[in-house]
Amino acid sequence: MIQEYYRAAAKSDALNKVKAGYIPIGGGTYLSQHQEGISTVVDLQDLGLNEIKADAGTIVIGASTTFRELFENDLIPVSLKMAIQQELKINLRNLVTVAGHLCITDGFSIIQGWLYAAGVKIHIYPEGESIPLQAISNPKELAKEGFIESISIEKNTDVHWNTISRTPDDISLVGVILGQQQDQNIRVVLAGFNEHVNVLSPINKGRIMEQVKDFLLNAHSQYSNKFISYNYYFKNSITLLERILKDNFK
Amino acid sequence: MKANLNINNSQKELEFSAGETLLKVLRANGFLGVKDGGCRLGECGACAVLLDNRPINSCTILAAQTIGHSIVTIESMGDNPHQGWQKTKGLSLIQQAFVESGAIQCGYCTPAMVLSIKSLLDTTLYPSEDEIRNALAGVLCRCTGYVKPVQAGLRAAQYMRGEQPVPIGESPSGDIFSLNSDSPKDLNSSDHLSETISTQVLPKIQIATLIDKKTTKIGKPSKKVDAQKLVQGKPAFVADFAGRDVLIAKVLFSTQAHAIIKNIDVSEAQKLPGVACILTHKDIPRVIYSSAGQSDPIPGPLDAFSLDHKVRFVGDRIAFVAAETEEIANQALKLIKVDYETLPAIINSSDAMKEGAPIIHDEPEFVNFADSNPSKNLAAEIRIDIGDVNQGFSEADFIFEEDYEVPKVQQAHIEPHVVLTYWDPDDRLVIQSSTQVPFHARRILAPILGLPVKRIRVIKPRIGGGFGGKQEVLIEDVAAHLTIATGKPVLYEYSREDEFVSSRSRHPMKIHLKTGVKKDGTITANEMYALSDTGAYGCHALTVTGNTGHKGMALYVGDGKYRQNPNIRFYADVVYTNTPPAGAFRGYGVPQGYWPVERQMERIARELNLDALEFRLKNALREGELHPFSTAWSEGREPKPEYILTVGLTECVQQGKAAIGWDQKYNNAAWRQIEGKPHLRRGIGVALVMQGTAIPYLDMGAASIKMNDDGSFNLLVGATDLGTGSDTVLAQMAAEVLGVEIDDIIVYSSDTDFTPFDVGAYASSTTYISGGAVIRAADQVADTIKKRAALMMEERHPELEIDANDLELFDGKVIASNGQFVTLRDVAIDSLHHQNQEQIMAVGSFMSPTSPPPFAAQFAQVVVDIETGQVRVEKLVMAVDSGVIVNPVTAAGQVEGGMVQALGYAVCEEMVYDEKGNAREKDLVDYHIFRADEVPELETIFVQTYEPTHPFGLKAVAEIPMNGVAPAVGNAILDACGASLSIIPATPERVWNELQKMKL
Repeated sequence: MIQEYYRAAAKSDALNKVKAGYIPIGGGTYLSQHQEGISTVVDLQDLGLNEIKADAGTIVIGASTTFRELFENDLIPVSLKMAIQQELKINLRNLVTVAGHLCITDGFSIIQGWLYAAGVKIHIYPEGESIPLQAISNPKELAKEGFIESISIEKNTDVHWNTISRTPDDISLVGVILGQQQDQNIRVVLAGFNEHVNVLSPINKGRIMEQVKDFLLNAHSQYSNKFISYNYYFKNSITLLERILKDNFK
Repeated sequence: MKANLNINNSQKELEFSAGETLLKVLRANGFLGVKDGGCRLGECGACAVLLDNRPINSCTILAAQTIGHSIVTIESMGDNPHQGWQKTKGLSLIQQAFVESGAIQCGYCTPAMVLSIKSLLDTTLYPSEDEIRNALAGVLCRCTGYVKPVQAGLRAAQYMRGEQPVPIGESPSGDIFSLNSDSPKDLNSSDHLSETISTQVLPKIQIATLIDKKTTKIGKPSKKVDAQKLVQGKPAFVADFAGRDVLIAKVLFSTQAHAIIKNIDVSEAQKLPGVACILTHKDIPRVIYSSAGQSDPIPGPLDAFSLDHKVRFVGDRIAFVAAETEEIANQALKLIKVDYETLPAIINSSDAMKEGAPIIHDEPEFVNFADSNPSKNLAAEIRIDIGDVNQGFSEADFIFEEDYEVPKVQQAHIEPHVVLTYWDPDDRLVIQSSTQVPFHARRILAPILGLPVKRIRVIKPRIGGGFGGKQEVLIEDVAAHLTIATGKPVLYEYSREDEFVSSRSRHPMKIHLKTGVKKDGTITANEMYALSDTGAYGCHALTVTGNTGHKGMALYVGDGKYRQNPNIRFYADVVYTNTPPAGAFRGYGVPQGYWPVERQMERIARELNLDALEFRLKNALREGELHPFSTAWSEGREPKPEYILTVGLTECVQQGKAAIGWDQKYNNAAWRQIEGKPHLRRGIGVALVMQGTAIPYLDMGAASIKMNDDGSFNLLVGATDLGTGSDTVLAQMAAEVLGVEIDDIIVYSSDTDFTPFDVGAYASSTTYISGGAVIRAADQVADTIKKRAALMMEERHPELEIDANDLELFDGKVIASNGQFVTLRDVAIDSLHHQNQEQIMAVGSFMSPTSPPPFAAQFAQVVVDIETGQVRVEKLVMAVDSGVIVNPVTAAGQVEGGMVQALGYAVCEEMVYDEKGNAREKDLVDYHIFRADEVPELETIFVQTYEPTHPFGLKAVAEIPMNGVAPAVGNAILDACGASLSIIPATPERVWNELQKMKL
């Protein structure tokens, strides 16, 4: 149960609180309802971390940027906007922040899958170094000695995705996201396989299908989608991948 | 902490704790237009407010986070324009548009929707329909199907642009009641016209020649009588009436599917500061009952206790807690220690009657009803034979047999179950409950609580949706026991998770259907066996499952000699399992029946190369025929013959065909293809369905009407408007008879102390039964008024001899054939103050010996991904014969909302349990219900007939939309790709599995 709420006025102020055990709070959509074991929170909303900037090669998105702000920004790729529109309806888009979403979403998230497929890097305050999202097993752990300040996406990242769901707004039972960066590094991300999105990288461009099939076969024991069978997931994630490749990577 | 919050442009210094959500703080400080849908995940959106002019869910943000921001609630939006001498700004244009468009049904999500539209229109006054749907997509509505809220958004934009939308009830052509032969797409061909048409809320209506067109209120799209307060978010729902001193109740639910409670230790929990009371089965009387809200005697077994020493499903009750706050109550639950002796459990209904199966109800107090048998885990057994089925099969040229399955699904009303209890100053227990059955609740609760009926008062305020889920005495006893124990007011609200693990649901069934058919398409016999799963308790077990046959199997009697002597068999076993109990859900067993029946009809038509619609109509019931089940079964009571006097089915088929473009699309291989998308196929499907209108010889409603000084009337009804608009249509009927405007009828429903008895809102009965009562009461009042008016006219004109029977009530006057009149106000003043003083009032009751069925043709158009099995529904059409339509706007709202609920049943909704009885679906993320931006095009057509058993010729409309969507979608999938589903929902994997079988 949250006993103390502190709104930081400066990054250093926030950092001191984080080091003292305060949990950073973004939009609040998660922590407002999951207070078990949490007694103090530090709110980052006044730190100006909601800017979306672009330089020559990257788009930098502040940690407190809401998905509405992303959705309405011309710098943001259309395929990410479409993922946002499917996954977060307007009331949530207006509150959920980029960093908050990275920390709490589950394996069904196409947005999370998109960010992984795009090879997003996370910038932690105060270190200032950039950590590939893929290198972080649990983004929540990042908050122990600092907080997420921003994320960055390479401008020319090409991300395509496809899903299967019961209705257009329903959770994605099967989600396949394929990202390719300028350096030709290809990532395939599978959503809906288990409690985390699964990132397959590096992928050999000539062996995409084989590598994904190998992963699916080898990771069979880790499969935990409660809505569909492994067999259905296996066959249809391959179908979606084939479609993405056919439509976008001829 | 103490802080200033900027609420509705005003700084409010409020005190709240760091962990409190904005929702909680706003409601605690009187902003009761912010509703709590119990989801706490930001999924339902009922609690939406504007934060810096953007809609957000107030349950998913800490109040502290909003310091320094602008918060806007519905309370800022507008007022009732009529407040005496006080000038008000009136309703906002958006609120006005919502009221006019019929966008408000239960009204629970209305404030959130209004705010969402405000946020959009503050950025653009020219929104597209897609933009409006996106704006509304953050708010779940289970009533409307979103059609009219979207139309309200378009209408509001017109108002805000300074335009005058076409008044509701008028069309650009000036002919609102004639069917238009053009399709809506044709009408929408020009952008300008499209905008005009899309704000028109009226469905197409065809008038039967027998209908008396002289009515001035019946058939008119009157605004809902409760719309003003609902659109303002005024305190109207149970939780809105809880004072600050109220104790909060919580229930400890079982984590075991089947177990004996060996011991409960509540000592630690009781020590927790702020805990007022903890009750276990040791503390309260052991009284057996059924929670089904039905008439006496309840047609089902008595098999439940408020608290028992045995639990029968994960989610069964173990202990009740009352505490000063919700947090303390939840903490107390965690401190209660339960020692279980685990018993073998039955999760799969197919295991329930196996040799050696564990007995779920072994309590000695169990009271059988009809053929229930707890030693076999049988809550009910149904055996209905009509004609000679074996002979019928022997006369058939073909036999079709198939197994089908339908799932357990949730009502998912946005207002969860909620009850508030307290002792009044006379030490009578007051129970304010969101219930569909206040009178049944009082009767059922009395013995449980050890109180006589006369010392219980049940008040039903507005209900935030029910759909059958509140035809149950589900939680009233919890709060009542705690009030009795503590002497204090107690509020008990279900969370969304509580709804999923511990409420009621639609009975899942496994069904075998066998049909005999001749070469020419004549059905010779139909036989259905249903294994129905009632869960841990037998509430509604017999009656729901009986209706699966009674209405699902009644439509197709056969042709020729079979028409007079149909051969129908319906057998069912309703079994107990260790899963949450099933109960009443809109449709009441009938949607379960029509899935197999209509899937089978489609298979037969296709395999015998018969015209799908002609084959159905050839075998369907016709006017003047006997309801085949009426002499065979009547919910455990003596059956009596019922003749069906009105059947508009043929016209429904014709109108529905035209609207969906059936002749151009069905079986059309070229149309099925989608250019550039080789993996997609279009398909089209149909289902013909029927329902009932009330329960004959049983359902009774009563109404009283009292005349006031100004010639207005108080209409008191025991009927319960759960968002359907029944209060409005009852007012229309009273106004029609009494010759006044709708707003001269002040409707109040319902309160067991003040309103006459009514069985409640179920069985599609209110408009017909309660309406019949209103008309009888109004007729009596009208007679009294006429007699007094005749005397008054004779006093004024002694030369005249006035016959009261020749007088008519119209336009607030009593008018003689020669044009003489007195006003109703004159009559009221005369009767109350001047001579032979009397209160003009009357009570009317109505019970029907028949249950005239509404009929419908329901169509669906789908697109199937033949590689993945994913289905998208593009359009639903329903042409329905519900007799005379009293209010075309509210009735259309019923059809639209029902179709969307039924669409969930068809494609995405199901409740699944693991081998230990744990629910897979516990929230509105995993259990998906349709949002505004994903609903397909919906079209409603009313084919009116004049039902002679009712004074205004009407039949029911509320439940029938649930029946045909799933089979129409299933048949459309078959048409699209050949995948023949026997199980719903039509999930991608189920469709894909069928497609794989076809490849073998």
